[in-house]
Amino acid sequence: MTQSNQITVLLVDDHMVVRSGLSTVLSVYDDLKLVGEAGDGEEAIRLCERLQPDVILMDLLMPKMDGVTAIKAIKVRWPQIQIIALTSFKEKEYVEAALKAGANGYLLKDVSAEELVQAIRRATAGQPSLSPEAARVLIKDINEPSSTQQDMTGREKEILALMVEGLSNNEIAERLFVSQSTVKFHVSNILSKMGVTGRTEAVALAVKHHLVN
Amino acid sequence: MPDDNEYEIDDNPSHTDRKIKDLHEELWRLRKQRRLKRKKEPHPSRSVFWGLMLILWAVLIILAKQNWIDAANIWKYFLIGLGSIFIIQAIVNYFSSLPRTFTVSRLIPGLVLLFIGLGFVLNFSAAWPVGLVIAGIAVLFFSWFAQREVEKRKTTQENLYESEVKYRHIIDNANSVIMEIDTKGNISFINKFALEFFGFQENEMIGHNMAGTILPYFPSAGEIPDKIVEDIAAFPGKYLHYEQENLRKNGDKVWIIWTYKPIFDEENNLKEVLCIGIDSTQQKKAEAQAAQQLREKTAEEERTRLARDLHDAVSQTLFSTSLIAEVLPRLWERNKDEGLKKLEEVRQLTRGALAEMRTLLFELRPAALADAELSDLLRQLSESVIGRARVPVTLEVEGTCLIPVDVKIAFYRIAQEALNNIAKHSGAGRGQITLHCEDRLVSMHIIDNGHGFDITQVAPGSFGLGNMNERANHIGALLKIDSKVGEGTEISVTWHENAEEVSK
Repeated sequence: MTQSNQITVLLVDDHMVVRSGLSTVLSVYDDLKLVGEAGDGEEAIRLCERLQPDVILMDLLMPKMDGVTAIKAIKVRWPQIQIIALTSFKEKEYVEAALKAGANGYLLKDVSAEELVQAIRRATAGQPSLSPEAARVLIKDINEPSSTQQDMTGREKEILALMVEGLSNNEIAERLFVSQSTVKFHVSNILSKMGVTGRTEAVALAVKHHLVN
Repeated sequence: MPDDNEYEIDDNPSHTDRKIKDLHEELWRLRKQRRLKRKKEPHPSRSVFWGLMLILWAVLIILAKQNWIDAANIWKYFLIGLGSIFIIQAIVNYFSSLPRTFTVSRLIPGLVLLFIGLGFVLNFSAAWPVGLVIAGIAVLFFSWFAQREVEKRKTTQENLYESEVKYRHIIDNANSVIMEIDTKGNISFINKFALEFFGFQENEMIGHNMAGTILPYFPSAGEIPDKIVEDIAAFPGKYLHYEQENLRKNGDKVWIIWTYKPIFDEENNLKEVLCIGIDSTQQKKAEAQAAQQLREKTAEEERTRLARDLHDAVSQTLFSTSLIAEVLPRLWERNKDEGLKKLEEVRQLTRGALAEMRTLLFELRPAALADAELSDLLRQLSESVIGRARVPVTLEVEGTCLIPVDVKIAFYRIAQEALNNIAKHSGAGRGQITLHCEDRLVSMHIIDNGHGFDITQVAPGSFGLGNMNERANHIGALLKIDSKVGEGTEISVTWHENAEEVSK
């Protein structure tokens, strides 16, 4: 008996234990209603067709069809269904893949029942939920387009700073008491590590991301 | 890093160059010596012959001029002189370095000519001398040819010596062990490389048996090389690439790839065996190391996979438990019975997580398995399935299990795979493990009421069935997998103490 104001939820997780815990949580909130459980992506799609849930809690790593694929498939057919990824992985690849596939939220499997319920309620209002770890991964990604700058040696950072000052290779060589070819070698390493093709681009990126003091 | 006492193969190009230079120097010295000897060597036969001939002519002319001899008979005296010259020359030759046969060949025509000349002086018929001179000249030619033959032989001998020097150099400097052994296994020749390689002095090896030098010394020393030598003669094909462990003088073990070649005499009896060996110790070591690394890597990968699976399962279980625990007060208020049920679930889940954690520890430290009781291990596995998959697995143990460690571990691993299948694939509502122990016999049955599978349809390696079989084979146990679609699965393992011995 579904009341009109109840939020229907579909659980997708290959771990029966997890589904059991989640269903217990849903059972104590009157505004939430568990309508189905699926053990993999394929089953999730089949159940969506029949149940048309408001929200899906979706695990990412599952047999047969993984979560990201299922999210994509469901979002294409039923864009109104809100999907929250619920997984143990906080790696950048997973967060990005799930969000790109169309997930409205990304929660880790250490979330409290209270937070989980809030996330489900917000999802029906079209508001996204991100676990702090997932948010951190995304923020870090935006701030540091190339994590490779950490690989730069002290000398390379020094030369990059001088490049930002507008010095030519010749001038850098004089300043650092090294040969011009040494400077050229370092500069080409810097460019490849930053993933840029030109000197100007490297300087612009360095300024933009405060790579030099 | 190679050991310090490791014998380095001399592949330094400059060393090889040096060896070739040495060889050239020796050959050059040899040729020079020969040239000098030739120059210094007087040709007594030739110079004495012509000198005496001149003197003879001079004496004859003087005697004829002075009319001391009859000028008409001068050729008779010439014959006598010529014969004398031959004899003198032969005597001179006798003391020179020329071969004796040559000397004799000169002496005979000399004597013949002398006697014929004397015969004419004592009035033989006049037609004889011409024929005899011709005969003398023929003999002279014969001796000349003989001398040429001897010269040729000498040159051949020198060339032979030269090539011998070349071969000696090659054999001594080859980066291979080269030896000759007689039919008893005694070493009759050994090259310089082998001496350096094995670390012996030449007199410690030549005349000594292979056993006790480069072969380990057996109480029945001598027999083994004997047999090998016989075998080499009988089946040479078997020994063209024969890897053998040998000993250095300092006791180090080395691996050598031998090529044993029997050498037969004219009567086709085995004379000796030529042994050529290449040091394969490094290669052998590398091979052993690679195999060891592969084994370790496989074991490591296996452990990592299991540990990851378990860790994953533990965190899922604990996540679920924490969710239930969090909403339990609310649930209790709404429905006390439901609350009690969930509390029981929390208890099972935490017990399961605990069991999983212990199992995880065994994966990280497999040696600890050896100390644990099989029944305890099985209880732990069954609890972890309850915790992980909410599938109740009961355990029944009959008797006390006193079994070897490897058998215990194999049973544990088989049960682990089977329960893993129950948790992951079977869809079973419950499972049961029965462990039955008697004297010298252990059997284990793992049954579930899941959807089963068609044994003929699954690939041999899937569901860890291959692993189970391998484990059972390893300890000589009998593994039986019985399953039909819709009728659950039964896995039984039976191990007899004797069966293990038979299988080994």
